Amino acid sequence: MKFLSIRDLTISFGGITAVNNVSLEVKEGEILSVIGPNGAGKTTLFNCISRLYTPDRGKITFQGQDLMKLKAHEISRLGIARTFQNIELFTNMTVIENILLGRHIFRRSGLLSQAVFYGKAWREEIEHRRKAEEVIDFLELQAHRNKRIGRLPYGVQKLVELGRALALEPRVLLMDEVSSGMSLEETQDLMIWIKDIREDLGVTIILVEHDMRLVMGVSDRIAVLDYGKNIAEGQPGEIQANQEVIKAYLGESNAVVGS
Amino acid sequence: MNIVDFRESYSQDFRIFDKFYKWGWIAFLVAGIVVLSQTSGDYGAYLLNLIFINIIAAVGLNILTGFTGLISLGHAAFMAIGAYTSSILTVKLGVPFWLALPASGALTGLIGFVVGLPSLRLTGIYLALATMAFGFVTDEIILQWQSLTRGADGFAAIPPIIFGMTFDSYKKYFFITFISLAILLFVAKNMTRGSFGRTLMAIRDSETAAETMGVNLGWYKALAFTVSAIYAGLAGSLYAHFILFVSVDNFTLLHSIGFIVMVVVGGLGSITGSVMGAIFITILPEIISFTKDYLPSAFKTASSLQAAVYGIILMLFVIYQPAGFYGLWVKIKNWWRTFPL
Amino acid sequence: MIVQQIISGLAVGCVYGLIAIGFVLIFKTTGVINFAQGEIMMLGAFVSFTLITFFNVPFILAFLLTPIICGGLGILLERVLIRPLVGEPVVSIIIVTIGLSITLRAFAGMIWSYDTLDFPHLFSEEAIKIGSIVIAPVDISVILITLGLVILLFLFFKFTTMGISLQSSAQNPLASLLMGISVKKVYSMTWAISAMVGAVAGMIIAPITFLSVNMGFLGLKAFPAAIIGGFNSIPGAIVGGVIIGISENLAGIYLPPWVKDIFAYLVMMAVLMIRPEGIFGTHEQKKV
Repeated sequence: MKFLSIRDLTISFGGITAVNNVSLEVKEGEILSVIGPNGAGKTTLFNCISRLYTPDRGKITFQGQDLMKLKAHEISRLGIARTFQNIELFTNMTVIENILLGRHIFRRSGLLSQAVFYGKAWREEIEHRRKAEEVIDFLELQAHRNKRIGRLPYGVQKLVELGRALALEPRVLLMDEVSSGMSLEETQDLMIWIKDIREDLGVTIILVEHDMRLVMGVSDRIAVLDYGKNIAEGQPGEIQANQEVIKAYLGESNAVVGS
Repeated sequence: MNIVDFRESYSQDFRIFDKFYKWGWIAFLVAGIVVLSQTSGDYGAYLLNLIFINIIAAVGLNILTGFTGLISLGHAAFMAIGAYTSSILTVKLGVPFWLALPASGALTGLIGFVVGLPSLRLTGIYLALATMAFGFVTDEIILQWQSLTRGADGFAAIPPIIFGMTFDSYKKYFFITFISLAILLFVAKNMTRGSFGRTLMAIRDSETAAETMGVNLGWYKALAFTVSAIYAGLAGSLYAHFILFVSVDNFTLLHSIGFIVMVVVGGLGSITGSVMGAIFITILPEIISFTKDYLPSAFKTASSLQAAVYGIILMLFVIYQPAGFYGLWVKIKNWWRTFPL
Repeated sequence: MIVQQIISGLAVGCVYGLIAIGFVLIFKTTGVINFAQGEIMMLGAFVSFTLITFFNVPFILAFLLTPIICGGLGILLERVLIRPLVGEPVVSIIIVTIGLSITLRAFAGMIWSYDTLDFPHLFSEEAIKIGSIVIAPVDISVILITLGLVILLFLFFKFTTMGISLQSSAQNPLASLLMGISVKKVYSMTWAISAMVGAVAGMIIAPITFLSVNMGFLGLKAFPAAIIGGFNSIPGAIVGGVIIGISENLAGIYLPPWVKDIFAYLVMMAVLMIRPEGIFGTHEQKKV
């Protein structure tokens, strides 16, 4: 059974075809980067997987489950988590509260039990806090635990989003331009974290990225989108030399330059 | 003086009071209020009852508007449903009060759920208008359904009889409202400090992210309406057996707005804030009529002065102190804590 | 009988539509819902009433002065109340305008008392007969004035610099700023125009219905009008208002009287369930 399979995915907005017949196979346990010029449809692809958009055509299956049959809030239950390009954190809550929300799908106590908050609800709350603290330790966010999101630097906010996604204990993690706005040091830390997430937690990671150093440094494979089409797929070395990719990024005249 | 608090267990993070001795203060407060209710005369007891009922309604509205971000201009209509249900059950069907009260809450909650279901598709102003329309339509239905509600004549309720004791004075009724308030505040605090509260706030702050985290928006929004309707219904029932007369005139758009004022002035998203806001707004008319005599005669009309003050306070708070009384309270606490002595 | 109801419904609908234009204008440009629009209409009626009866200003002059005065009020309100709240969540701004409506009504009550007053009649009481249909001149005047105002607004938005600036600021404030348009001035102007339109609405409806400080409640009916027409469409506002006005009257004929009072809100609730954007409105979706 294929792990995560995207077939002939197509979606248009008005007159613009954002994703055009994209097919992609994601292997379990790999780190796959999706790159391409701005507007190539990378985030749109993620939004289709998360079911925030409904594609016009095409199919996405995850471990045999057809994602098109599910609603947006049912995707996380399968173990697919994501971060957002423009940060969608809960700005009026603290860091730990945001991360605790990643535990939502594990909640077993009903509203009635919470109304009294004894027994099951109490124990569950402690359990979730313990798990959230593990995430905070992993991403070294201890100093910011009780701070409201609004007061945090941009790079830290991105990490909190990552932490919130990790709290879900996902099988697949979609990271949408997490490194944008990060300094060199932060990006280097991020590279280590990405590798750790795959090694220690066994999570399959799909990255949308612009930072080539990061992409070349962590990826097992790379897929390239341009104007909504999948124009190349392969190992980092192959992609670097690929003429189509160079043309897409740097224009026709540079296409001859290889290496 | 402790500037830094060290937590030693997870439960300290979400306990209602992080230090045990704070419960002592609460016990002291409770004793004080009980004494006050029995010694301040009929008017004092009346006021206390009214304050408690308003707190219950305000807390319910805060869960919907402050925590979940769903604006409701029809809260008074839910109170009306609770009030009429309770009166009709006790007077026409002979149901005892201790049954009628929760039944009113339950029925109102059910209606709240039904109203909340379509709220998935409505945001911001559209929801505000829909709830406003709901308020108008509900009031009109109550008025027209004369066989059930006695229409414009209003409905006379009866004082509660529990264990053979009739609660027909404000002093006696105080205990009913006080105990109800204590229970409902406890429940509200529980619901909001755990994952339910966080889920609601998540919906308020980012629906997209909440959905991605697995939150079923439609269900939780309807649930938020249900909870707030239950609180309003219970408040309405308590009100009916307190005033002993219900009519739609007590549950108009202006009253819905009044509850919004309580919640905003107290602090959106804070249970403690709603308590403060409800207390303040309930005793505001008293303060106004007290100071009225010192103002030039142009402001003599009591009702317009009160309305003008309402409106001005509302605007000033939203512009200059959006976190409400609770925000003020937090600022004062922090200032006190970090005072260099 | 039906035709008469339709015509008088058309007239009332025009007034709803004018108030709704006030909403839509401010909403389109600044994203704010001004709950106090009905109260501004009420103030327009009262200001003109005071000018005519107290200061003995001739009708025409009063009708020209009132919108100017109310326009000034609009600018003042924008500066003092709305400007500080730019960027705040919707809840806050809605609540501020609710507070404003309460305050305006209260101050009006203090100045003019809560009694219902009689607005001086300008047009003859005698009805015009066309065939078997009897039409009140007042209704005709309302419809004509509304038409005139809508045409004026159309010309303003299409052909004047200020009008075009208003449109561009509504669509993209940042770009407008970069183009040299003073967005602050635009916001002030929006509130001014909105208040003026509201004032005109007040002046033309007072002779038909009644003059009282509680008139603002009529303004609440403008919400269904704006919803039906689409909250970001100006022509939609008039269409919505007319639909409400006419259907209300028709409901009054065929259904029990009490339904007429809430009919507008029932229609609004139905529209919100089925198509919240209304007839001409557009649906916005946030891009993540």
